[in-house]
Amino acid sequence: MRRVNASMTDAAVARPEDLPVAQLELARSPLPLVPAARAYSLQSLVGHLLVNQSTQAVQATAALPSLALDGNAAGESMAMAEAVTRQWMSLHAQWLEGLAELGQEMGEFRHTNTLSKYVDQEVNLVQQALALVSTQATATVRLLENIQVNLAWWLSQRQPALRP
Amino acid sequence: MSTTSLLPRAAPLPGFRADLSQCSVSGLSSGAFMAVQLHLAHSSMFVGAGVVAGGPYRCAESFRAGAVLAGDAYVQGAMFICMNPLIPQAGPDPDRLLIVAHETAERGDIDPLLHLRDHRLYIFTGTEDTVVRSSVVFTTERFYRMLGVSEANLRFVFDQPAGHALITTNLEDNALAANRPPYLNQWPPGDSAEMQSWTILKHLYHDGLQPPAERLSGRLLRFDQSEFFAGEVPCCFSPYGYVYVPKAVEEGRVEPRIHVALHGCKQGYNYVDLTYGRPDRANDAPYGNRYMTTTGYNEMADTNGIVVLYPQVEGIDDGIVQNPEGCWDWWGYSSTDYYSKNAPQIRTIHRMLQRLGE
Repeated sequence: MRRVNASMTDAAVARPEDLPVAQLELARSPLPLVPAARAYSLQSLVGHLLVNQSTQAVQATAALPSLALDGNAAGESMAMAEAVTRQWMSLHAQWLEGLAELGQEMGEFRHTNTLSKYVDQEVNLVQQALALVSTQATATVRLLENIQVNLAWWLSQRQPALRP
Repeated sequence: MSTTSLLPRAAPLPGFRADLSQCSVSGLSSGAFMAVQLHLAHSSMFVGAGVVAGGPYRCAESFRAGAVLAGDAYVQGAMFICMNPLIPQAGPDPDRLLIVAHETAERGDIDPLLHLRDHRLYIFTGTEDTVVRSSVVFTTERFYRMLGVSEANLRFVFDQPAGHALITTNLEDNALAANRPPYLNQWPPGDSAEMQSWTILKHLYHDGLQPPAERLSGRLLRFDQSEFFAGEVPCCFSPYGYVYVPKAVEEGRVEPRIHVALHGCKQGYNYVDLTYGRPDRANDAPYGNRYMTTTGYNEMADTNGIVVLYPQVEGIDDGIVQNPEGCWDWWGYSSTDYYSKNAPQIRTIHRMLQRLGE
């Protein structure tokens, strides 16, 4: 995929075969399968998530009674809660840093020589905002997965019979 | 998509009659995790390993019961237990992994673990590493100690304020505490600063290496990796690998030893960064040859008759293989057997070593 933000070295010379080649590429692409492919991808993920989370939940639940007899469990669970809080604060800090950088760039008085450069700058700002949101969303989901897997693994170690 | 079959072939890897009982291996990050797998799989060939920011053997399988499918469990284990456990107690369990290693050796899938007792280990983690937590690397040290590696043979460095990187003395590289590509950081200037690769090689070959060359005498050769696939297509080797050959070795004046240097994720010569999930060819190639030309291995190898093998892997994320960042396979993306002598990537590197021994 071609990036939107332009540069002086972008290929701008038109060749006669450009359009037919692009049309051929489009014809070759599996466009009719797009809805099915996206649906399959989502269905596959949901299936894995449901099964995996059920598995982890069963193991975690089974380990819960043993925590009462485990002298280290309280301290370790507190440490895990602190670690989660630190990660969450770090995510929040990255969000604020991103907003600050974006705000700084949006507030700059800039000069452009060409209309295309002006459009390029405006689109870049939109892209940066979208990238910030998507990065945060991905990092947040990753943190949730991290917590879930770590918690289940940590609990499973307290139930030796269920250890893999 | 792999580029392996699309580019013209390079010359074949030459043989140098190397002493295959004196090999060593080192790596950073995924290269370090892979170095551990390779080291245990073929311990009869190696004298030691350098592990910079890497976890213990078969670490990714720590929590197999965490998912129904092995592939899901291994990826989860790699990311959340072997790289970023929230607390050390949620990280890898070296006692359990030791049992797994013994079971694997008893099946004959890897060399007998007795070989490891006399081996030399250099293990490093930076206190500022935010990619692979130091607590994981502490388990690597414990794992090797439990395998019988002696105090004198194991050097564990864990008190330097370094980020996730192989450390050099190059002014162009990132500041010491950085955690970003190209994952090459520099020591602060000072008399004691030296290339980490030199420290690794000096520790692994403790018989007293000559000082590194100020000017290289040998050649960095590009070779065709595909000839080592033997009819298979093991994911995700790049078309070309590289090998540094000192002049004395090329002229047949010394019997060389081999050091295998494994790059980390995003460090293969043809790695291309992703933008919105697609390879950003407009910025190709962001990394290039830095790992094999600027990290110092060649200078130390040059004066000590060491051939440095730099096998290369590339990123593939095609819906089947999920390895967009060109990492070595230490969690099973290419096969559920990623750890034994029969694992696709280990088998391929072993064939390269055999060639160098011819």
